[in-house]
Amino acid sequence: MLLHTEQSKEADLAAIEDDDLVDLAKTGDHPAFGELVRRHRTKAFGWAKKLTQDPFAAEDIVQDALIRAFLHLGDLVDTQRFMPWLRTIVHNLAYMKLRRGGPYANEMPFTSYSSQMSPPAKEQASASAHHWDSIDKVLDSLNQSVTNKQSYDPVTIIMRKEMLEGIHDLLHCLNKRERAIFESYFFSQLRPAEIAAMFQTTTSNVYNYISNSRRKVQQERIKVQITGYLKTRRELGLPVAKKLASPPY
Amino acid sequence: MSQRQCDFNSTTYTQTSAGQALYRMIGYTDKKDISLTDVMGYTSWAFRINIHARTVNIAGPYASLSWGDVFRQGMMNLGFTCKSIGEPNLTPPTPRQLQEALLFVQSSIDTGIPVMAWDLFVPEFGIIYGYDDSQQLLNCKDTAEDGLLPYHKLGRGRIGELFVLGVTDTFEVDEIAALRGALDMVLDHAFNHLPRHDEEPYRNGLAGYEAWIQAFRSGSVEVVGNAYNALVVSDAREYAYRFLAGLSEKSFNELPVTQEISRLALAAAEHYREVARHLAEIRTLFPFPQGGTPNDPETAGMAITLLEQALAAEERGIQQLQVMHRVLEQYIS
Repeated sequence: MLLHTEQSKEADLAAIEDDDLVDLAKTGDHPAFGELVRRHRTKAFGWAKKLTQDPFAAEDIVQDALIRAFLHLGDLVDTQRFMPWLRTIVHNLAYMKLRRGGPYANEMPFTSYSSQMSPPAKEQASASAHHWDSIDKVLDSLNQSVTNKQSYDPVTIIMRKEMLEGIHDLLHCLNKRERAIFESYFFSQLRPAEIAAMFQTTTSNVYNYISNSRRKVQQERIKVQITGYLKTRRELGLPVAKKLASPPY
Repeated sequence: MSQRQCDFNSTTYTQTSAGQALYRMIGYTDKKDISLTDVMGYTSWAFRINIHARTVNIAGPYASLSWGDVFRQGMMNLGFTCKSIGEPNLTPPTPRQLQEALLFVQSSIDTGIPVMAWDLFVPEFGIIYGYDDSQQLLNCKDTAEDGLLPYHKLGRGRIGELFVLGVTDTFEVDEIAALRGALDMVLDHAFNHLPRHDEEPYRNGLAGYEAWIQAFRSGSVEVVGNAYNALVVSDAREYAYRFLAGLSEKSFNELPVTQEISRLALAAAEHYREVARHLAEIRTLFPFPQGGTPNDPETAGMAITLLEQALAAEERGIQQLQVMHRVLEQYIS
């Protein structure tokens, strides 16, 4: 009976148009997102494979792209933009992979930050807390999948895990809107004009959001770095404090 | 101190915060008896001038320089090996650079010697002489304040750039070699233009006076910047006079060259005393920080006359130092 219900639900979803699926997925409907993924996976895989000439790399890229798509879904204003946007993400990821000879092979954002941050503040308003939870969950599951994956070498796994943890920690200093726009810029490397169209705001606003977000993230990075540094000092048993005499002149 | 009068008696304070910070640092080393006058002389700071030919802006004294190189070279003349982190690049440190700087600062303080740092409470040089990890605070003293600075603020002051310099070793210096090293720097500064990446018309050494005169003629002088340069350069030349006067009385281990150095130093000192007197009058015309009216034609005319007299005297002083440099080179070779 249960099986039957699921089957019929799947059949129902298959009949829904892309735009409606995106709308559904935006409300947090996971099956709708699943259907979108099923529909566009092949196409996305095609783009990625054409660019990388490597089916395994293409598979990774598509997975990454779809997760990023999910991260941003809640903020997509214009559902018509889902496909072009997914395509942009796939392209950027593929180029990044080609440039670096593997996902983030030589260069890795946020790798140097240990995850020493205190747990995220709980005082978020309920609506935004919900939004954050879902992103946190996605990051957590990404983290799990990275750990379980055998195809990468251990260094890559660790680097990637650290990056995800780093992003997780650092993005908590931004408010919801800043975070969404920063992610669009950071992950997808879209032009501010494209982001503006997506979020129905002006380009100058996007620039403001990005620079504001960068500043906040920068401050947070410094906090994280100092915390990590002081932890290392403690572990090495270095002095906690020392004060020389104040100079007389 | 009265601004009009030369204050040839001040021996523990200079308006050149770089010299002051180096002097403060040295006070914690095994060479703590080195005088501020010798610090100013042997590091060349008593002889420096750097003027923006249009505005005489406040950035002048420390502009165009590679700080690390100039400070390290100067400190070598006093028997110190130094290490620096950062540079004047208008860019705040990355988290990693900040960590590197903190580690360096704390290690230096652990050895009992503070570090010199830029833009702690104000954009001047000061020293960091203590730290506390539990509060994440540094004990700092600069020209504005003796107080506490959060770790994350290092390199993120008013300008937002990081520079720290610390003593890593000390060694015995040969007095003759040290003097020659100082004159290398002084003469290089007097004659050779410091290159810049941009087109800003900064001029150093003797050309600095000409740039200053040019700015007064064009009536485009920044009031506060002009007063600040007058304060710093006039004070520096008072130290130049004292340094040379002190040199004329040095025995140099009774070496035969001593008499020659003494004679030349005495002659140069007289010229620098004259430079200092003219510049003290400039300082009086444009008291820092109010700055007077440098773009008023009559005042500018007075300033130009004083600067021309100062330049002429400094040229005579530099000539004596060139002769002294040749004497030392011959003696060493």
